[in-house]
Amino acid sequence: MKRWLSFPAAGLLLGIAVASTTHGGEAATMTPKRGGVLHLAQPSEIRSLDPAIAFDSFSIPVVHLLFRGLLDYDNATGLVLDQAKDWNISSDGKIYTFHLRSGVRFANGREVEAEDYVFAFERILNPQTGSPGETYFLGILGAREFVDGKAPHVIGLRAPDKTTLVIELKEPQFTFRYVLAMTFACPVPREVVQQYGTEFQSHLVGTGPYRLAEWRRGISCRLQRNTYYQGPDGFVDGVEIMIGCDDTVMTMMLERGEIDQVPLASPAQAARFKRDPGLRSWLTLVDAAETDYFFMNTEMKPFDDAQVRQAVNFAIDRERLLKLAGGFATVAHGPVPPVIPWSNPGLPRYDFNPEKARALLREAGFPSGFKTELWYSGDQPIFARLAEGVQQDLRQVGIQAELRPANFTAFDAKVTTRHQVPCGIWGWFQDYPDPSDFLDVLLNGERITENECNNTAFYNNPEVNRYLDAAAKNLDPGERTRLFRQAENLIMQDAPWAPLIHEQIPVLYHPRVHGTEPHPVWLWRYEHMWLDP
Amino acid sequence: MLNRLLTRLFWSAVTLLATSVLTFFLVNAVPGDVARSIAGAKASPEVLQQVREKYHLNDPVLVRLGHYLVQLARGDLGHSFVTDQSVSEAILTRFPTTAALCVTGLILWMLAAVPLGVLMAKFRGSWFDRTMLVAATLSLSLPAFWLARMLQYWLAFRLGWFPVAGFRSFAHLLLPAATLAIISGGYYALLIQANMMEVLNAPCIAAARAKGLSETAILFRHALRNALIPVVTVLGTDVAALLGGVIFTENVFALPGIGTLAVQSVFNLDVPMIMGTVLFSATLVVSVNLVVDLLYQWIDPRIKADY
Amino acid sequence: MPLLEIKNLKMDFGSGTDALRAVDGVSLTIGAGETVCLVGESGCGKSVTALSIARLVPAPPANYVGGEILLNGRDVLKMSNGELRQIRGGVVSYVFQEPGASLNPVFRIGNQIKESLKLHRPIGTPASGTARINETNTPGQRPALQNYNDEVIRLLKLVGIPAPESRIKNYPFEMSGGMQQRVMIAMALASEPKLLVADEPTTALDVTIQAQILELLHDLKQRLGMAILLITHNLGIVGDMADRVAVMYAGQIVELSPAKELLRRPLHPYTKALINSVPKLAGGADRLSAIPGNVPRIGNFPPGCRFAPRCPIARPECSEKIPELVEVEAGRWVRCPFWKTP
Repeated sequence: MKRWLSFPAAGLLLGIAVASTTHGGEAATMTPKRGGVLHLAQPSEIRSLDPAIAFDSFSIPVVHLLFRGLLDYDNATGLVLDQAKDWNISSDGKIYTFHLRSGVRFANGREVEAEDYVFAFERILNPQTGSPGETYFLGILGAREFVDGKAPHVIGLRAPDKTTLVIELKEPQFTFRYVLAMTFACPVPREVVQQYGTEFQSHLVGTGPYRLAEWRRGISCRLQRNTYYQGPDGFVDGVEIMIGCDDTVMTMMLERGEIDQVPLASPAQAARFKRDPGLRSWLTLVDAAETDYFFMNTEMKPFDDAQVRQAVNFAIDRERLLKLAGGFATVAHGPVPPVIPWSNPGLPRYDFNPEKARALLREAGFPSGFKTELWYSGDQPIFARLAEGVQQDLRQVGIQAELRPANFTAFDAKVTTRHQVPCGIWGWFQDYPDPSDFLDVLLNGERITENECNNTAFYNNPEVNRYLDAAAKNLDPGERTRLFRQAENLIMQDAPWAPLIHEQIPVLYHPRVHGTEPHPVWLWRYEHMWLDP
Repeated sequence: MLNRLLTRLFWSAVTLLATSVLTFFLVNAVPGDVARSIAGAKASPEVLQQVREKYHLNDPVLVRLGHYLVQLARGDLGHSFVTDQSVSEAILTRFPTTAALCVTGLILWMLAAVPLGVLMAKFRGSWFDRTMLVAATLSLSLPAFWLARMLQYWLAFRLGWFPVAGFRSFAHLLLPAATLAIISGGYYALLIQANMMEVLNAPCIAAARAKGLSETAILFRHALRNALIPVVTVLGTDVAALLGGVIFTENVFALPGIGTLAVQSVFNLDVPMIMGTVLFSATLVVSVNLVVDLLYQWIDPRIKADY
Repeated sequence: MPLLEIKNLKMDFGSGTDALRAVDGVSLTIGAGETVCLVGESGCGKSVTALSIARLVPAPPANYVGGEILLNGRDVLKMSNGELRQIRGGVVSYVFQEPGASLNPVFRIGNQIKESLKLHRPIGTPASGTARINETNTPGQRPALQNYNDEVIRLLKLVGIPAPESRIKNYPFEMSGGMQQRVMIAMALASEPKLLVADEPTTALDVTIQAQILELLHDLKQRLGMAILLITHNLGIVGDMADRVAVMYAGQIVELSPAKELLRRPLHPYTKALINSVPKLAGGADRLSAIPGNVPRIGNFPPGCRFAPRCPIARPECSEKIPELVEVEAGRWVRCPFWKTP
């Protein structure tokens, strides 16, 4: 997922992270207590809590309280059954069959039926809904025809009876299982949606442990226990979310006990907590499954020359960039973050070596360097700092990069258009814990389009493309890993990118809150949190 | 009188129209794809195209302006690009917060400014007057943002006397109101002092004293009543401007008022919301001016209605 | 005991070496029911003297350096603030020169009169003082005040304002100068003072209105029996109104006489000059006779007799020593040793 934001929400994260490093671990023997109200705060307006629409890292953990579906993640990236009692994938990998658990009800009391899942998925695919999750469901048989208006329903979605759901894909797609664990794949009560239409936003009903009690737009949001929920989650009686304070104010409120969590503290605040022995246990660092990278447009001179691109990779001092990021990050050697989990021992490494960089540039025919423009999204301070750091490093080897900041929407439009931007800095957060989400989405040459192209390097290596396509269809995890490793190695040889860092998210929790272990996909799970009485 | 009133209303409407047109052009001049703002960054090209059609984003600016004005004439301010909430609903739900803040601030600063101004006039030249003069000048020079942060940090965060931010209870309004009060209080104290000094020299004050009235009655009933007349007009426009959104103070204390709404809508490039908040603020200012003008006859009986 | 006794009042503006003497040894007595006129040109200190009776001169800069002002036997200069507030209105009321400016423009006149009533005659207290007011014009006990509005209307009627019921809602600017002055008088009377001090009450009004107001004052005096101190620079009105006249020049009283005597046969050269300078309709004076020179300003008083520089009969010894105010005939005082000179 692209790094996109609206001020001042810096960093929309939906990534994978393993358990943190500095969380003051509570004894695992403490028993959760029920009761109390969790007080949260968000810096900016919640755009939507509709599972078909919500797609930013502040909203998703809240949507996850209201809506549940077939699958969920365990404490890591393993998938477990949630509101389905069993599932089965056919041997050709195309047909998924789910049997729903009985007794699962919506917050309005009605029992969930398989038809509700069909309705929800078709709603995502329906262009009227304008769902950002549409692309994830296009692999379903008949989805394209449905989207184009050529078919009234998606033939690949079937509910043979009330508790059985069958999904047939056009082609086998390993990553489809992860889609089913996303909040997009949660069922919605069809009669309620039909009754309210677009006003469903204000009358949300789901199968999660909580229901929406009150939502004053832009002001506050209040959740209460869903009495029909029978699952194990949900210890606090209610959740109150205050909307619209900046990070400094949130931290003050946290220390005063007015709120329980500061999601995404600024590096300065996080550093303060880290230094103070009395406050250190409040800080939790979440490794984000994301990569910030410097991309080079392989279709524009001089970045069409692989030697130039390799030179750039040698020119950048990644260790120094860590400091510029406030210290809460790790060096990125390749596009795929190691945290998903991912390892690639054979990955070509570009250690900091300006001499080598200059040599390569001379060989490529640029003995005295060249000029270029470095674009980045000025809305996020991290990108500004990275851009300046990279600019300085490039200057050392003779490359004069003029900084071109732009606000997010302008930047997005510009870099995704062909032949526009020679190089720039961007970031990508994972949508699901699979290497394809980085390699295939961002570096597959067959996905290049004239506009709105995610492959901002416009990189096209047919061999890489073949590996990625094969991996997409393959269902064997071991084989897929091998294919992805091959692809990644080739990519790093060609060096359309200079990967920079993988960020870490500092989160602050008040000591009275427990159950705050970070989660690889959800980042934090409010439904596991409980309060001291 | 009706004639003049109608003329005033007409010109007020013209002002508002001009404001909306100007704002519309300004907002649309900002670079950035509005369709992306609406649909979200992840939206597919089809969705974007749909959005562009729905909101007429492909039409030339003048056509869009026309659409907007027609819509405005129907009393419809449109819907937020970000949350799809009705703009008028958003403004109306947030207005009470801003209004509560402004009224509390107003009460606090008048409670401070009136006695101070009166006493400063009465004891002109004394150490009291000189100290207060410095204090008042200082207070009105303080930047609102800085003052708000200072109060928040020291009184709420460090000492815990007040809540830090949000609007869960009336106590949450006190520090923000104090911010407003400190800044405006100084200004109004000086204004009242100046007017009072003039009035205290008037013959009617000597006559009042000759009646045997106490100094308090003379100051606060006879003199003040006259001194406040010019203050009221200033107060009117000040309050109107504040009601349109106290941006810095609301922001620092995370109060869900019009100010925060306005700022957020600008950063989100939420065109209807920007237009809505600007128009709302402009309407307030224009209306309050009109009302103050009308009330002026009642406030100062010497102003015979020229109407 | 006389109602008002000013004894050798000395008042400066400022103190120390910058002090300017404004009132220099003025003595004056007013008995109950008497009308005294205090006459002089502007700057002679008559207004300041009059205002001092209720200590209305702002002090600082006023600085009382000598003398007493006994009002009903009690020295005003030594009174506390509370006592002062009681005598203001309660014993002595004022009517000022510019009625339009003296009334508060933002209050209705009815309310302004009511204010005096509330202060000095709260509801339920019986009538007091010598201001006996009832329609039959006979002195007698008046019933206690029951209702402010009624009393306000009655006072307005008393001062000759037609249709008082509708007038009480007026603002001062809605009335003519003459009406305003009547209102001021009504306001002054509301508190039932024993002494009414009118400081140039008609100077700012048209001549015809002047006459009306003076007649009103005269009439009220008859009916209510209160004392009046009338300050004026216009000798013309003295004859009808005053019992006695005091003429002031440069901070001092130069002649004090019963009114008719003074007008018929002035004794002090200044008084004579003043009377001569009043234009006479009958008898053919071709030119206005003015007093040569200017009134000395405070701080710039000449040594000795202060009128000497302008006096037609001045002699050298006049400028050596300030003459005393001496009773030269029964009830007639003059500050000039050469008063006999024709």
